[in-house]
Amino acid sequence: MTTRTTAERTYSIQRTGEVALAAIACLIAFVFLCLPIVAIIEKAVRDTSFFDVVSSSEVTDALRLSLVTTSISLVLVVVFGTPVAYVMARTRFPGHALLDTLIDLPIVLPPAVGGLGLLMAFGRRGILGEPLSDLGIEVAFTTTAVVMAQTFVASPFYIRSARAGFEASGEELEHVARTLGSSRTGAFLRVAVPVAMPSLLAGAVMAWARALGEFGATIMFAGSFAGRTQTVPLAIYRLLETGVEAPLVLSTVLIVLSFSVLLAFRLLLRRALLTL
Amino acid sequence: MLDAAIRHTAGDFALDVAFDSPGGTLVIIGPSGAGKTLTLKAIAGVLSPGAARITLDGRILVDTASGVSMPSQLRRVGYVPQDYALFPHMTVEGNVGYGLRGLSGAARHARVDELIDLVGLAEQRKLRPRALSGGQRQRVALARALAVRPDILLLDEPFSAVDAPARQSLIEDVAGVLARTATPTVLVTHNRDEALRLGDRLAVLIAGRIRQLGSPAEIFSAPADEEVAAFVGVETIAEGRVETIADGLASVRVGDHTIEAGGEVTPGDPVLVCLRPEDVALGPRTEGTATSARNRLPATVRRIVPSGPWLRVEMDAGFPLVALITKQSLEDLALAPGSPVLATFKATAVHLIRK
Amino acid sequence: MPWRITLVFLIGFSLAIVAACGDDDAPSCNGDSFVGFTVFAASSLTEAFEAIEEHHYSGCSPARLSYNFAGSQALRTQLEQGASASVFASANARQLDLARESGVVKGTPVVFARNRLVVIVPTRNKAGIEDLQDLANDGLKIIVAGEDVPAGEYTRQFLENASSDPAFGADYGEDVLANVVSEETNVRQVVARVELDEADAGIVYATDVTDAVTMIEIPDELNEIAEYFVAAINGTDSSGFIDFVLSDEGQSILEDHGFMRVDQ
Repeated sequence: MTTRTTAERTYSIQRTGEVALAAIACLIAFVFLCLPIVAIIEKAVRDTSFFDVVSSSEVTDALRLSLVTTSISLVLVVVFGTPVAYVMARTRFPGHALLDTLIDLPIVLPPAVGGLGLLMAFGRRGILGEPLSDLGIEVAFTTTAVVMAQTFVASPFYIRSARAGFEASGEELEHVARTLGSSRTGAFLRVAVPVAMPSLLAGAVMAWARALGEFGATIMFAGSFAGRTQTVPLAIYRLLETGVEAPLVLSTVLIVLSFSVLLAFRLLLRRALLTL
Repeated sequence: MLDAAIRHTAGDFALDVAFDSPGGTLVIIGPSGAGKTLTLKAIAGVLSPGAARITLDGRILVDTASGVSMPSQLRRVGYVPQDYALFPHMTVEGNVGYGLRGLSGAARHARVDELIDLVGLAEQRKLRPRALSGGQRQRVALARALAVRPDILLLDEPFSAVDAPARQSLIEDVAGVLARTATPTVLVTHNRDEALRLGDRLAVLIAGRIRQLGSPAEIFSAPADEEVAAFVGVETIAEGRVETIADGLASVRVGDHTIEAGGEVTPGDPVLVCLRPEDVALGPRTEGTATSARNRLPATVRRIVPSGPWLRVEMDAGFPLVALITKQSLEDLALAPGSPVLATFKATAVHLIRK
Repeated sequence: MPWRITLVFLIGFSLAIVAACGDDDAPSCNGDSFVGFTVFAASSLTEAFEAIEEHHYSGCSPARLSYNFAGSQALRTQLEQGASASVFASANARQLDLARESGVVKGTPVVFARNRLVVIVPTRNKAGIEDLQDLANDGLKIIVAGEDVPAGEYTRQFLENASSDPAFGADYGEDVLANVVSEETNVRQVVARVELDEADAGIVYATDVTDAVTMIEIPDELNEIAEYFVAAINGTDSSGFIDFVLSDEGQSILEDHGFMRVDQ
């Protein structure tokens, strides 16, 4: 038979208390984060004729447009964002911090501000848009505008992540690669990019997810027209005018799509990290 | 033949060095922050120095005066940075073969095999750097740099990332590899043992300046100035050859003398005999002085230099020998340049470095 | 020194009372019963209802009345999802009827204003739109309200009416709709886009026209007159808001903002 001292007992009570507090906090947070998601799916499954709505042209048009535009946006973000991230990671020049902040700005700006900005720049009375318009090129209210809006809001997510990846791998690897006969570009492609790949992929997934959810800048700059500029988020907003059924179904599709991509990426990344 | 003159400023730090290396291994030794890595990077071409002229076997690598700066990939230098910078996404084979893209498949495989055998990593060849020990990584980096048959090998603190117990054998491995490939090498380190073991010539780099350039024996027994002395530590360093081993003690022939010393050596080995001045005791040359010291060498005082609270007594015992004594001892022994003394030291105080 | 603190409080308190008395003297702050009173109103009513608040409740502090302006459908959806409000002013009968069907609105709808559609073009009018027929020209960028919102419904009705008029031709409606580049959920957005000169023309309520655009009238015989309905959410309007909107004073304010009176 062991007798515990008062001190031991006090410690034990304290520990139990801490564990309980942490558990309660986690539970509240978990419920808060999950309930809205679960609620949408539950309502959609119970109260809607899910498959009828999913196969309606409004929904399929929006889904197709979203997939096409986000794919193009992703390619643009990666093609232009990778060199930017690399240069920002590897060089320091006057105004570096300023430029860096500017790149991050779309993350904190309300998307509507981004949309307004795009309109002021590329709209037909815009700084660049007016001369373009005189040449007969007008981008506002076209699918191109959707891609531009998505690229604008999503690129910082990719650039940030890619930049962190390049910074973490350090330039010594590329130095060595160059002494071994690679040009700067060769070292970038054969060493820097593959080494930073997990960060590049993570950034690409985040950017894609952001583009998929993009609403404010799109509706501002591209307007809302079924099949042309009405992506899934815009369709959800528009269809709310007709009731909640279609929005619920579209939201469910969006949730399932985003969740699967994020999950698949996570599993893939874990495997990639294990082999590295 | 490497000939380098480099001037470069980075913030408050100013590097201004000029040195040459006729071949063999040049060790640049100096405290951290002295500019050792900058020097290597300037030679490797991954840093653009403010002003420099570097030639390698007559080829101009950099000449800022005429605006020449050969791209890194054309310099034929093998660069092994401090953390080795192995490509984490490639196997050992991939790393070693990185620079061999110009070769045909078969030639490339043969060269990779050759290098992997040279550094003894045949079993690890399919592993990625993550799975290797510090020493193994270092050997991969060495093999990768040597694979392209560079005109010069640049090693930046090659042993600093290795645990102390493994370090000694790794130093021997590297010494063996360098000897076999006969690649001219510039190695930077802050460690005296590495410098002594691997360096044919030494350059002492302190605060951006080369303070002394010469053989290890010259630098350790006759430091050019106080700062060099303070950094390398004054030591007696004499070249010798192991004659016999008995009872775990080696008899080393140094000039006319035989010195008893501990150490893992075999008869016939050429060695450096290293002796710290504070381990050397001085006495009058009379018979029968009671001492347990094994080594008793008659010597002549050459010079007496104050060194802090001590006095450094430089002597000639057939080779340069240094002792540190107190002012009291100096007065007791009435030493002056030209005085005959008996230098005594224990066998265990002698440090043998195999050459 | 507690007496000092007391003194400070006394002075502060007196000042507050004086200020409160001043409030009482304001001639039109007569909406005591409006405290916590929320009006859900179609967004086209924004300026008019804000003027009502200013006129009828000016000097009241803090504001007695709060508005929620949005598309009528959005408002109805919000109500059905449990939003709490006292009065619902819809830009058409349908949304109110639907809200009554689903039981969230109990009061009887009353028409309190009428509105008509007009065409607007940017002041610059680069596309050179002079009359309604021009809307069918190729290559225009026209922005209208989506067909799910009343303004959009009326717009399509107008196009249909025009198409059966030989002066416009049977293809008129189709041609105009082919020029539509964006369908907004809210008439205000249509106006904003035309103001920004991002579109060549828009079709909006007369009440939404601003000084920054040029208006082209649609003849009454082709036009669809929108009727605005108001109803008390709980069946009775204890606040008198609906009565005020229907009063001569209320109607004059609405008329000032482009609506057509219903009391004449």
